[in-house]
Amino acid sequence: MVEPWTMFGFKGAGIQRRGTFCLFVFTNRYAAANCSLSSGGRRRCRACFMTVEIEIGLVRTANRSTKKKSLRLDIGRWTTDAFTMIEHTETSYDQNSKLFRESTIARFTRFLAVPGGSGDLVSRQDSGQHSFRGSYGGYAFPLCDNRAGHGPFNVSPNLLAGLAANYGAPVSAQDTFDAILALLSATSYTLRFAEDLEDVFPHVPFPSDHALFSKRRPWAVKSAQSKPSRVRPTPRF
Amino acid sequence: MRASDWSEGALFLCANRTARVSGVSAAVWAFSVSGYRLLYRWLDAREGLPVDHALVTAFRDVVGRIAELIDLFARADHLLGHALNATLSREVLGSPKRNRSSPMSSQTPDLFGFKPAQGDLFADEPARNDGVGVANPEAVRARLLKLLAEARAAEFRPPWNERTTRTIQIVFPQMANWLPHDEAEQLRFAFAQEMRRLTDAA
Repeated sequence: MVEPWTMFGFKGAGIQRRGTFCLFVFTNRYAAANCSLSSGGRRRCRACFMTVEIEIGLVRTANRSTKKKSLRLDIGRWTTDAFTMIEHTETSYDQNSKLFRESTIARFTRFLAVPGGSGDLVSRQDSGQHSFRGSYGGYAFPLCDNRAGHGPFNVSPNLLAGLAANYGAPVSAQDTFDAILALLSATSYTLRFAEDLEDVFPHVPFPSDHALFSKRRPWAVKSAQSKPSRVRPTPRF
Repeated sequence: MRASDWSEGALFLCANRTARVSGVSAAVWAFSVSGYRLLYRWLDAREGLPVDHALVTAFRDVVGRIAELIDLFARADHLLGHALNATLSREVLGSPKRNRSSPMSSQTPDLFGFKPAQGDLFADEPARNDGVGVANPEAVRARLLKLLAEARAAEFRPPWNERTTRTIQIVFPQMANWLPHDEAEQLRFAFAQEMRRLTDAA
């Protein structure tokens, strides 16, 4: 049973839909490990959440039924042609291209992705780049929205005002984004609400306590250059 | 490079069983996303590459990141557990109630002609925002006085259900921060008194 929590406060929902292939490309080589992805114990669980800073931007891909151009990615020994892209090949992430300019996501933004099916993290052999494949549908919620007449933030002002009123302090879009990420990153969330997540969008249980809301700071995504802070790398060579 | 299988916290990066790496915990090795083991796939994708300083550094960083993530997930569980004790409902946040029979609002398709299944939760509001939410003290005052009046009108127990009562008890003192100090203190005191009376009566 879904409880009446506030759903995503993002204005304008996802930028991806069922039947659309989408490929997010990162130049941040730690993207894979940075992606706070969680998935439930169920095979078809819809809930995978991730946040990353992307440097290149969103490459929007063609709908399955429209113009197709096969893209082959060599992923180790596994080659796939599952990705389709509009008039671009994998090497032409040209920032001046029409595709890039029209992208709803600017450089160095962050987004929360909710894939509809399995979210595969794959890596390219040559450069260590990582990509995220949200096949079988899914949604991505960028923190920033650069479309004309929108933004700059993709979080509803009404939600921010509502949170601010209850917390007795100003609340920023960034804070809210981090809080949502922190709450949805919990494995217990996916397990506890696995049944509901099959059918409905994730509901965000914003805490009443402002102190608890403020504890989301560790989820603020680090920049590409940053090193792990709290837990040091452990392997010894 | 051709990594061996992980065994008791260690693995070999080279096919001739050199470049031994130890200190990789079982949890890190088993960490998977959507059923795919991350570290295994990372190594698998780099098979054939020379095991040089850059690769070793990258490997160490990925392992560190995974360890950090595992730690973060555990903390997220803790955080969620506390958050679920008292949550802000849509009503408390001033969002309209959802109409379950028609969850979609009349939202225009976006740049790509996409009309989201989620619908716009806050339709008809100004499109632009500066990303910082502040409250209107007048509205806060009105809501606090309303809550106080409801509490005063109740005779034996709080006029809200248990969950809402818990939320309001946390939120009321916080909301008062938007008001002048003296007024805020007075309201907090009056509300605490009413809640004590109702708790005693129950």
